[in-house]
Parts: sequence; structure tokens; C-alpha cells
Amino acid sequence: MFKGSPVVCGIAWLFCLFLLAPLAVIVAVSFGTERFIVFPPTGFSLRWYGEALSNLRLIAATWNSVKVGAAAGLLAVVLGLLVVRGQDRLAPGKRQFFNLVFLLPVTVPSIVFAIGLMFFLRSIGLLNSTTGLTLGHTVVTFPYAVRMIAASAPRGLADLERAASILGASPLQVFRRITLPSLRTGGFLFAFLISANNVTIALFVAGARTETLPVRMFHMTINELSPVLAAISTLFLAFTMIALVGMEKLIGVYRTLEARGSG
Amino acid sequence: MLASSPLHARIWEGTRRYWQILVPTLFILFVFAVPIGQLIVTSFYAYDPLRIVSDRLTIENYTAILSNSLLWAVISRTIVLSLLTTLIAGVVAFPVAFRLQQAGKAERFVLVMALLSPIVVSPVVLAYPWLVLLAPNSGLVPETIRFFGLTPPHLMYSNAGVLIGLVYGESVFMVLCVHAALENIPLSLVRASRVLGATPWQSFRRVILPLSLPGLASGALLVFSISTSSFMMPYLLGGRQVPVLATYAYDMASVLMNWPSAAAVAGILLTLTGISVGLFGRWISKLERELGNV
Repeated sequence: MFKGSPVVCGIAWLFCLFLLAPLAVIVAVSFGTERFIVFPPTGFSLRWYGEALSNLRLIAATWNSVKVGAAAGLLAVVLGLLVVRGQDRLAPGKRQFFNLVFLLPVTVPSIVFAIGLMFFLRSIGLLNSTTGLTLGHTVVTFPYAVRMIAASAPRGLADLERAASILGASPLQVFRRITLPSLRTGGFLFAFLISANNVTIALFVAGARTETLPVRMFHMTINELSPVLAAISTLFLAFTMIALVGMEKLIGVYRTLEARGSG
Repeated sequence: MLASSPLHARIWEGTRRYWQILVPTLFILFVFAVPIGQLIVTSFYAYDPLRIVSDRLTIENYTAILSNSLLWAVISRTIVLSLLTTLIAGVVAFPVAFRLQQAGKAERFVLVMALLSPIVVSPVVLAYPWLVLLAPNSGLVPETIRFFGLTPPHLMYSNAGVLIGLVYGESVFMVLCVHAALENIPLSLVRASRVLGATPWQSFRRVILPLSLPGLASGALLVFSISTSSFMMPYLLGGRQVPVLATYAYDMASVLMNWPSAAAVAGILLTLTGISVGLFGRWISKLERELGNV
């Protein structure tokens, strides 16, 4: 179709530039010398990285993000595996019903869920706690984990497991040799990435001591647009993009998400 | 056999068989459905300055919002900006999706990474460069406009700024949906139309576009509903000057601490999402039915 049509090519690449160029702006600003942001930057310095890495609140927030991301990612993967395996045993009609149930967190606006979660956690005494935040992030990352696992798990994983156990494998062996390999799909890493980058949930349910990195960055952005923020953004962006490139190369994140978009 | 056994045995048998699907279902019920339910209930309680939520049932949170012309401006801004975002995304999606289909390995990889980045990268990070680029006095975009001897419009803290942010953050979902739809169109159909003398534009208009309409429609639903509930971009690029429903709800909940009103604003947002899912959903299934008949 439209092979090499310059208009099609032009629009496509302009859009691509529109998506990627702003990310380069962050990197450029982070190496600047001025305290007031000038773009394009006038000199080169690493002092904003020094300031970012010696900012104790930023470090504490990063550590919170890592903790919550790891716990939520793990929970999401376990729940996702249960969904994928459990659906194998259902009749097609029922499967559709459960599909709808598990799609709900995607359909409901995350800010609506965040406010609801704030009320809920307050009434059970978990507002501002890491546990409450982890529960919220599990809900947000769980649909992605299901997608990732479903895309890689062979249809009838349960049958494979049954076959293995009939052939004399112990439950532990079945889990290690059959179930676990299907977990190695990047489901955990992707859930971790989504959790680490999420800001809405933590903005409502995290306290000053449990705030995550994006929440800290949000408050910094509101207060003052400093180059320190560009430095931490660059580090955060580099981590996210490297992980994303790796996962795209290994498992094809784009394909998996596209299937979600159309389904 | 199951039906004749005693109840507890049936429950036991069902649990043993279906525990794998039951655990995540119960999790979603408790950690997702209960909070949403609590949000809806809270929106019907009166605000109390001391205890935040009083025990008096009322509908005045909603009537206060719906009788406030300022709030109607917020609602219509949310809808109009989301529709514009959807429209722009729909126009851009086809060229990008075509390019994605034809691209070689390296080009495809760059395109895919460009499309994935706004989905994964935190909106806090995504907003930062636009704050730099659109800044009224020194930003690159207003400076460029001045360079051509024109007066730049207000971009920061304006509808235009929020629209740029929404297109930047949410429009890629449309590309994903349209590309998925294009992949499902048999190439032979397109070739046939070309062999029979259609110009590239005609075969797009008459063959490709009709066949990819369901994908376009699901993309529109996705982009529209994500845009209406988008919070970070409108808050950082629009601020309090141009509130949308999501940013208004945030200010209500976190700054003014009026939880019942915040819940009611969220309830309106939820209703808006429900209406758009219903309308777009009917459109999508109608399109799919029509395609099924061809």
C-alpha cells in the first residue's frame, strides 16, 4: 500500500519526532549549567546530578518505589498466573464473564479508583501505609501481568502440568519445570515498570514517609522547575527506556499491548 | 451428581475446582470493587468541615455541582479536549500504522519504542519537557513563533497546552488499535483493488478504511476515555486556570479536603466514562456486525 508515499512517511516521522524529541529535551536540560532553565542549554555540568543524588527525600522516595514495585509486581504476577491457569478450566461463556471482571480496572478511570482507594484505606486504617499502596499498585499492574502471561503461556498450561504429574513429576517439579518458565516472560519486570512509573495512586494514598519517586517529582515540579528535576528525570527515564528496549527485544511488549488495544 | 450432594460438599468441590480463578476475583472485589462502591456511597453524604464526611445522606453534592455554571465549563472542557485529542489521534494513526507495516527492522524498532514510551514512562517525566518548551518567556515554541514575527498564543496554563499534553500522552493508543486492525486486513483485498484500477487514495477510502473502522472505533473509545480521566498532563500544563474533571477532583480531595464533593466529581467522571463506553461499544458492535455481513 502507499509504498514510500512522502506524505505518509512525513506524517509518521513528524509524529515520531513529536514523541521522542521532548525526551531529549529533558536530557539536554539536565546537563546544563544555569539554575534557571534555559533551552537550549548554554554549558555542560554534572552538578544537578550531584544535587539529585544527595537529596535524601528523593533517595527515600526511590527506595519506596522499588519496594512497592517489587511487592506489587510479585503479587500481580501470582494473581495473573492464577487467572491464566484458572481460565483454562472454565467454559467459554464463563470465561467471557471473568474477562470482563478483570478488565474493570482498565475501564474505570484510575483517578476514580485512586480516590475510592483513599476512602477505603482510610476506613481500614491503611491510608499512608506501604501495604495499602502496594494493594493499589497491584490492581493497576495486574491487567498487564495477565496480558503478558497469557500471551506467552501455551494454551492449556493446566493440561501440560497434568501431563507432567501423570508422568510422575512431583508438584514442586511441575511448578519448577512447567509453571515457572511461563512466568519468565517479563511479566514481573513490566509490572514493576508500570508500578514505578505510576503516580496517580500514590498521590492519593501515600503519606509523606511512603511517597514514591513520581510523587516526590510531582511536588518538586509544582514548587519549582529546577534542573535537579531534569537530572532525576533523566536517570528515571534511562532506567525505564533500557528496561523497555530489553523487554521489547526479548518478548515483544508492543505485540502484547496491541492485542489488548484491539481486544 | 453434583446437584444431589449436600451443599457444603458442593461448595467444597466448587472451591477445589475453581480456586485459581476465585482468588484473583476476590482480590479484585475487595481491593477494587469495594473502593469504587465506597466512593459512590461517600458522594451521597454531606460534607462536614471537622469530620470530612458526616452521617447525613444527601444529594446536594451532585446538585451543587450540576447547578454551578463553572462546573459545567469544566465538564464541557473535559469533553471537548478529549474529543479533539481523539480526532487528532485518529488522523495521525493511519500514516504511522502504514509506516509501521512497511518499515524494516531498525525503523520499526524506533517507531515501536516511540509509541511505547508515553504508555510506560511516568506522566510526571512526560510533562517536564513541555513545561520547558512552552514556557511563555523563554520556551522554544513561543520563541520560534516570535522568530517568524508572530505573537505566540498563551500555551502554558491554557486549553492549547493541555491539548498538546493530551495528544502527547494518550494518542498512541489509537495507533496501536489502528495498526492491529490493518494487520488483519488481507493484503490480497488491497492488491485486488489496485489491480482493478483504484488509485492508492481510492483503495484506502473504499477498502482499507471501511475494514479498519472497528479498530478505529475501539481506538477512539480508548483515547477518549483515557483523555477524560487524564490527570497529570492537565494539572501540570493547565494548572488551576483550565481545570478538567480529574484535576478538579484532585484539588477537591487533596487541597480542599472536601471528600464528598471530590467523590461526586469522580462520580460524574465515572458516569461520563460509562456513557462513552456504552455509546462507543454500540457503535463498535454495529460496525463489526456490518463487516460480518459483507
